[in-house]
Amino acid sequence: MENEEDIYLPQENETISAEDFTFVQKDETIHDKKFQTKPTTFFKDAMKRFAKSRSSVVAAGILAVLIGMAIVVPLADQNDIETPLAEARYLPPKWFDGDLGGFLDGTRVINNAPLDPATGGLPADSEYRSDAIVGNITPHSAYADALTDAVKKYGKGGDVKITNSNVEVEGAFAPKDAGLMSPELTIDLNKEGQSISFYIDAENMSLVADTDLTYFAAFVMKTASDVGDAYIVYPLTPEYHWSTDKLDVITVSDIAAELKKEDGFAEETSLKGYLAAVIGAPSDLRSAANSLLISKVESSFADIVWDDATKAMTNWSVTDQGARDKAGYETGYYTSFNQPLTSIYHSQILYGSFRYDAYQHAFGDKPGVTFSSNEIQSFIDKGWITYEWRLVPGDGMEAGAFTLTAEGEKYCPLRSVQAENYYKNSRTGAVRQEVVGTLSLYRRLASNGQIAKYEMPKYVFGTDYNGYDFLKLLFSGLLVSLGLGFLASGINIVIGLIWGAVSGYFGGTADFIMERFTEILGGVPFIIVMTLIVLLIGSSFGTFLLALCLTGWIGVAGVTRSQFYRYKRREYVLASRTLGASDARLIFKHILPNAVGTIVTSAVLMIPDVIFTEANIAYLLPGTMVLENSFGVTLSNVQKDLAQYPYLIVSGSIVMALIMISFNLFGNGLRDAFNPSLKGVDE
Amino acid sequence: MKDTVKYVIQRVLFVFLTTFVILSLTYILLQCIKVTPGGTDMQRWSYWEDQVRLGFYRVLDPSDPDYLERVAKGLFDETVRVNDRNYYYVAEPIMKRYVMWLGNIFRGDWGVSSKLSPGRDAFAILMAGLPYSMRLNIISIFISIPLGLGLGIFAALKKNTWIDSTISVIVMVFISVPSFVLISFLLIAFGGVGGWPLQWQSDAAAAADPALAFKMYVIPVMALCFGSICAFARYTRAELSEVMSSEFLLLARTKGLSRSQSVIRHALRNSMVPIVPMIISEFIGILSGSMVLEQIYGIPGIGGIFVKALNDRDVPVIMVDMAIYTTIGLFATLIIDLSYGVVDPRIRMGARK
Repeated sequence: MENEEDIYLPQENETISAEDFTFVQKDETIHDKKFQTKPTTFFKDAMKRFAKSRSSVVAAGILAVLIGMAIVVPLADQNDIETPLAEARYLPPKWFDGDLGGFLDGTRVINNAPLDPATGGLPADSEYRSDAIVGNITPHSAYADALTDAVKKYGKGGDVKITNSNVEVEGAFAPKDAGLMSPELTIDLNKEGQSISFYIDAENMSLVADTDLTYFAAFVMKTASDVGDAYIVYPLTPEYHWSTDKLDVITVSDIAAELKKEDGFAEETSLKGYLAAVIGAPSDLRSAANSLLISKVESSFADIVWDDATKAMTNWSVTDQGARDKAGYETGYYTSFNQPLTSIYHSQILYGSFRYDAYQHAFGDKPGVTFSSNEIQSFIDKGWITYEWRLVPGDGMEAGAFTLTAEGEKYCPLRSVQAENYYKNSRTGAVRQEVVGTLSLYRRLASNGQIAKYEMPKYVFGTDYNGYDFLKLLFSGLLVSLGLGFLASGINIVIGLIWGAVSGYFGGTADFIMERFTEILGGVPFIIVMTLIVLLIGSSFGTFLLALCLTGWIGVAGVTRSQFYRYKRREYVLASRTLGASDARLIFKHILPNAVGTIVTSAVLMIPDVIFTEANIAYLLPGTMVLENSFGVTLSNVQKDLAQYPYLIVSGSIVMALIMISFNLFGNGLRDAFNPSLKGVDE
Repeated sequence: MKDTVKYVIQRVLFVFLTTFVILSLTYILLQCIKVTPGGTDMQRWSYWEDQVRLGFYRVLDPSDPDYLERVAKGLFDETVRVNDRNYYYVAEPIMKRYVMWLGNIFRGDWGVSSKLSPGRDAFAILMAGLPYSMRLNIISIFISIPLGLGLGIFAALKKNTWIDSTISVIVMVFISVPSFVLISFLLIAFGGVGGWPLQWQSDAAAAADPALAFKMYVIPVMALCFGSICAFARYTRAELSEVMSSEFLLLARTKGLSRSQSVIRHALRNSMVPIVPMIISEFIGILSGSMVLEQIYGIPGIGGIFVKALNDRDVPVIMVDMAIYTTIGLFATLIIDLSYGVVDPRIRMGARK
């Protein structure tokens, strides 16, 4: 109907003459014409059908790309994945140069980097370098409740928290007085005005509900005993109760006067001991602990005074007297008695958040690095730089004339010089001659042979704990797993075909016995088969293959067997048999070709199955199954980094998911193409 | 009817036979692995004493005339020193151990754990883990069956529309993605949100905080659900759309039934024939735990115990766990086969042709 004008429509009252009627093909004889189309085979037909299913073709394309990458990436990627490189540990993925706000540009967000409270910038000994920070530092102050190294260095203020411990005696909690004890001091009993004040952070204290905390200031004497240290506690104040008293400060204004009230001290002139803040464990408390927060101590004894709890506790944490003297700590060394738990509470610490260029940190230019004269000489010898020593005595003197040659531009780790150090010992004649300059880290690593090229590395999938390029690691793993998959699938098909063919073709008793055998073999959980084989003969590629092939063929055998049941009674088979065809000929020539489509499909679908199984095993039995550098092992190794460095597991999972999905789609497409009647079943 | 009963009895007996053969094979093979019990010397001593009690080993008696000679020549397999005395143990031959083992398990004595939790009854360890796995599985079944069936039916009724293709794509993705990938993504997602436990919490912690007790189920239940929801949806869609295009449904419509009447009365019922067995097998699967999930999330269920026992080479625990897994697996197959006949009377069980 496309060309309506071409169709002749009879007009009204039109007369048709006899000439208008002619015989078509009057004098011709009609012959069968040869087919204009080309003959097609079963496979060509199947491929045609396959090409019509768009999703399967796309899947096949993705699959081809991934398999291609598994072959090409390990060869083309020069990065070393055998010797760990600490500098490159956990680098985020980097695809693009320049600042893209954190999207695949090799930067990561650092949240809690301690800052120097004085300057608001990174402290000199920070693990981060200020030249690698992208953008600005957003400072935020926070409270820290643990005496970490960062808190020790940069924290300030807060309270010392003493918590009465629960000393368990024969199943029952025996509350004991416990406390924080000053350094040892001598109290002159004839002197007035010896005082001590413990300031309590009443605002932040909270107690376990329905319990009472008692606390007081005390003088403590240590006595030797068989068990260890024993203490005698002389209260200097009444025992306060938190529920009623709630003091901000416990003050003893005249220690000597208080002590003289005790029996037996009237005769003494001086006493050696410790001043302490003591908490009594409430008698009604059995399982939870209460804490006293002390924010500062004032006293007439100068060396027990402190007003910054963080600083004070940092001092106390250094127990070695020599080290204490060296560090110039002012206050003495506080201790505790009867094991209260002492910890820091709400130490203020300034943290900074910023985006950090991990690549700049690992591979970029680092200023202020000292180069020895030998190194400088070696650079000069290689023709990378020229440098004229000025040799003015002293550190940090002005540097001499420095130039990079064209070759040095590419290779030399020293990029520019900032200063020169020169020192000559007049007595021994020893000479120290150094240059302080900017070091190009990647050029140094490359010249040491630790990275492949003289250029800034760019890891598409980032790096793992060992500093290995995760892209290469992943795809070399994929290659191993794919190899395992193809081999296992091939072997399983051969075994399964033979088994299924024999079982299906002959039927009867043979079939029954063979079926029961596969049933039992198939009933053993795969993980057991795997473990047993690996435990008995060790873990290697061959062992894995063996374990996969031991039970893997059962599926193929089942499919083949049912195909044989379908076709063996067909008339053409009977015809062939009557003509004298042998069993082998019937099996391989007449029946098996019918099952080819199904078998090819199951072979394709077996490959992702093997990859999946291998990965599962690597996840489940990391100690037992070590198929080196397989895909599953690579993935399970980065499982522990999931929280901190999720990009590793994400990129690995995406590749895994792509492989699985495209193999499945591809396999389904193949099945539909080979077996159009099955189309749509379990889809 | 008589045929059916005979067939069922035959199948059940065969399940027991298969289980027996599999367990026997596994036991004998596992005996080739050297067991190294963990714990203190005392615990190891009590493990070997238990092995002696079970009849797998015998202890050398110092009053034997050849005792010293045997010890000197090293003619013993294991030794442990407790209470200032050396105990020497000699392994019985494998076949004898096997026979003793058979006798023991018929009395319900599976031996004690060697390393996982030294000295504890292997069967009790598994029984302690079972409730965790069961609870998770039951919750996930009651979520995944209605959702899966619902999605499948919805997709089949809207066949060849964008809804159908969206559901199909999602189903395809979730079926293809391995469970550990799924769990990892769940953990990353929930870790990013914050406030969700990324590890299984102890019973005490859960009892103290009801909100936590609820939250700690979310990730594992989701991980378990996605897979089975998708499996159900895929299967239901395929079955229902096949039935929808059949002649009898066309007849029903021509007869004057409305679309919903025909779907509910005729199509759904018929499409359920292969799905009901699937649901039944899902319920049998309650007893088994997902190894990957329990391992990664740290759930003390039987899947996690199995993996730990395998890593520790704790043979008694492996044997109990295997017995559970194998029996469940075989019974699931059996019940699926039998249920076909119950759901669809046209299928005669054990029919010759």
